[in-house]
Amino acid sequence: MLSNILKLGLKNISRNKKRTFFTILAITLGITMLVFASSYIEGILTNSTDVAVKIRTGHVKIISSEFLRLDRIMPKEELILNSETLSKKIKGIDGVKLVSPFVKFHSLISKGELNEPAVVMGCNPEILNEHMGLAECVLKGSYLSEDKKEAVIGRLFAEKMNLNVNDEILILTTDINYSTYALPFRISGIFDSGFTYIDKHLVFIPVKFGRQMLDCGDSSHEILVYLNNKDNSGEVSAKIGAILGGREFGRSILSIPWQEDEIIGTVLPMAKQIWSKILGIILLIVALVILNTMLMTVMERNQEVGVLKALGMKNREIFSLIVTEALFIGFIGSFLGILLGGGLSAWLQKTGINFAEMVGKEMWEKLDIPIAIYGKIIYPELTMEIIARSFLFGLLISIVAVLYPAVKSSKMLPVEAFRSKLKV
Amino acid sequence: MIKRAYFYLILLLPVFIFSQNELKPFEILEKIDENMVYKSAYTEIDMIISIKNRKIIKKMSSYSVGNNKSFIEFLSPARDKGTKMLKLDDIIKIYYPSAERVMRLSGHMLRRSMMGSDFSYEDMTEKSKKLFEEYSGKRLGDEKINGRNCYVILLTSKIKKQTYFTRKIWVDEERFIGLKEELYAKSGKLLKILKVEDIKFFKNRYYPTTVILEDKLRKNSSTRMELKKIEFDIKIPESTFMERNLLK
Repeated sequence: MLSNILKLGLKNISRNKKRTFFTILAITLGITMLVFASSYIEGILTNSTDVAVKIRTGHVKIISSEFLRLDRIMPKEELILNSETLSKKIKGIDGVKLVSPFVKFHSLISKGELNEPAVVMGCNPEILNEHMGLAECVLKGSYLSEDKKEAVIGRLFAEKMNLNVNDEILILTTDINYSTYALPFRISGIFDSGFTYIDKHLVFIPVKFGRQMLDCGDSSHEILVYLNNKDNSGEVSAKIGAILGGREFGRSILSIPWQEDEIIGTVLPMAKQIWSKILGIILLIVALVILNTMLMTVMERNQEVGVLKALGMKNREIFSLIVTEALFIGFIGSFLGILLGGGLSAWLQKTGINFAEMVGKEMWEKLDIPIAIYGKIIYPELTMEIIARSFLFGLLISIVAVLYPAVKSSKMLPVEAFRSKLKV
Repeated sequence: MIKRAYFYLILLLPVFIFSQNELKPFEILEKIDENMVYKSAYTEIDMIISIKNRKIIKKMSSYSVGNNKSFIEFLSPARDKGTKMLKLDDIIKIYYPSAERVMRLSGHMLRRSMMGSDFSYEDMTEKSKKLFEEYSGKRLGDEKINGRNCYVILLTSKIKKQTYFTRKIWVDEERFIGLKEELYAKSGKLLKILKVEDIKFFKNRYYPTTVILEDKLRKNSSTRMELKKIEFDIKIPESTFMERNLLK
């Protein structure tokens, strides 16, 4: 009996090829859209966490509680003392891959009669490049060298001040004792990181010159620690906390695993909630498209149902036949949908979507938020979960869509079925 | 008839005397200028910056001609020693010995802290002429500051983009020195408070010798300027105010 229903179902969907094609097409497009949107949102969320870890938090961040509290002001005197000794000790901890110390301070950059404020990042160029990949972003000139009085600046900052490679700039700041100190630097390179805030406001110099400007010995404002396995951040952070116990490295120095960072801990979950809602709306639209198409497909076949009933087919068999047809159509549509959406997402996962080009260069450069989370290129992230979830969703909605008309049609008398067709 | 005239005269006399005393806001400011504006001066100043339980003392010497030209050299601490500042009208040029370069400050940069103090470069370039041109004045009555009678004047900017949109000044009625000044942003937020702590008499003028400025946007911070030495109306060579003097 079941095999007969299956055979009849298969025969039915191939009988009206046009109708079947358009129904499958609607499901395919809906599921394609769902797979792509899910991958895109997943990509944005994973990207933001990766970027925050790469640039802002490391896997463990060491910072004074006051510098953390006043991170916009960047109080210069809130330092981690003896930070080179501390870095060596941290490097000795199992699972630690990189230790990157920074000094960060507000400054004035001057060239000729032009002055612009900027945030100077004194870093170890080699280590910074290992976790941030800044050398790859250099458009003109070359990356920083540890011992040269050189600076790399962002493209937008260079445009603002009309600066070029080999130009000399004067960096001016007040040191930790409120003395004003200035040093000249040669611009070795101009980079484009894709983050408006970084490209517009940050100037990178070797850490030793940053320390010289602040007159702070071998102290740092932040130390970012990178691990072989990011999931060990809690354990490593606790070990660093034990080293920080004494006063050797300053008062109230904190060791913070990346999961406890303010942005990752609060802003990103909020972003996740917003994106979930957007995905919910997309799901609803896809569901409505499939529901509508399937519903219309069944409703317009009442006369056909009448013939089958007149030939002696039972209510249960009619119901099973309609659901079976929906199952076939849903399966084919959803399968094609995950193939198409999956293919598109997988391709864009490699090439990326240039968000900056999509919103326009000018608009993108105006998105000058002081937290670098979203890069200009977004890479969708296709997972098996997304594929499975979307496929099942397509199949389920296709079946649910025909349940009501299937019950209704199966209970119709042949005469009623013919009349309802005539009404249409 | 004559009796009646006398009667009216006696009646109006206090009004007449009072109106003589009723100085207008800018007349008061002009009288302040008589004290504050000099032909030339040489000064030695200690600038004491108090911030977060720390005291930083910076010593400097300055040559000035009128309100428009001044040349300041920092003598200590070691990191500031040799820093020279040349002010010509609204232009400020600074020589930094660490960089061996001269930097010209202009525009919004003038609002930055001068050498880590509560004073901004803009505070340094301010001239009384600017007050007359850019503010409208109003007398708010009289108040006492440190037991001295003061005129209270409220100045409101005629220009929209003014760092200190309103200024409230307490002027010593006898010596014509501003004893206190509150500087407000357009939003009404108090930005700075200036207090004169000590005033001395020099030949023909009163002059403040200790001034304290609090930048209310910096937490627990104030800057005290103590005048250690001042010589008025001395001869200063014109070459003092040339850019090449910064590099010497």
